[in-house]
Amino acid sequence: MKLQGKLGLSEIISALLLTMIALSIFSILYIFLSNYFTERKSILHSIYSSNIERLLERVTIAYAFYNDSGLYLCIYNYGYVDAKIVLLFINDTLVDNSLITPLELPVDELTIVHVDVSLNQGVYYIKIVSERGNSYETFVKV
Amino acid sequence: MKHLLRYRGYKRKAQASLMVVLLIILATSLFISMIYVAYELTSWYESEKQKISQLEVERLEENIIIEKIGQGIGSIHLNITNVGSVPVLIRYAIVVYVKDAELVMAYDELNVYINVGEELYNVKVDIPPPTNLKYIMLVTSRGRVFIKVVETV
Repeated sequence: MKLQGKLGLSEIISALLLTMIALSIFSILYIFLSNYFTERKSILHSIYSSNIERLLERVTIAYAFYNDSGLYLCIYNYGYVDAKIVLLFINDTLVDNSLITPLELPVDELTIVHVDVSLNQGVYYIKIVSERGNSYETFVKV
Repeated sequence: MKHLLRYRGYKRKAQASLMVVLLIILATSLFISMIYVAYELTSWYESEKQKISQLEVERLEENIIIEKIGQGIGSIHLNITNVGSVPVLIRYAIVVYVKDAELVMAYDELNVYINVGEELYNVKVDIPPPTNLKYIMLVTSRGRVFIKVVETV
């Protein structure tokens, strides 16, 4: 009778211990996986977000002309997000950003971008690259 | 004693089963969440893609003709016809002219809405008529540019 009672007590303790250990492992696993999942979700979200922003960025070079004060680009942003010029090439030659004003192209606005360069007579291929990686091209006759 | 050992065995099995069930619930919930997130992001991307495709299709369907340019006092007047298949919002007018043997441009915000097949007369562009007017360009809200060459350079 005495032996049976001790066996019953150790049985309860062992069951409780086992359950506690299992639940602890389960909780640790849950927290780890949950954090991992949240992290992956935010990475995935930012990837999609940048892809969508790139898709929503729409810019057109309405007109380009050159006079003694430099090159002028009339750029209209017809997309859904503001754009920013990060690179400008004239015949595949990169122009320094300090010579370009302004660099920002707000949504639904016509922006006159002035490029402080001097060009000889001829036809030039102008290419602008936005911060989201989209590129827009035009030709200008000097 | 024999019964006790058998009871212990069942209890261990029950505990193990409980843990397995919990782990399966965890794995399933994570899997379902991942599927849901992937579906949500893909739907978002697809809806935005659809929006842009619609814009590009409408952009291609835009077509307006600048029929006549009149020069008033302190402004230029245009007759415009929408010959495309979508209504058009004309956002800007760009005027290019020659001043001191150099190309110069000026622009005005118009915000003129023109329906399909509609003709608008005397649309006012608040730019003083230059003497050597070369081109007039109209920029639409969908980014199309329609040009009228006034004088060949």
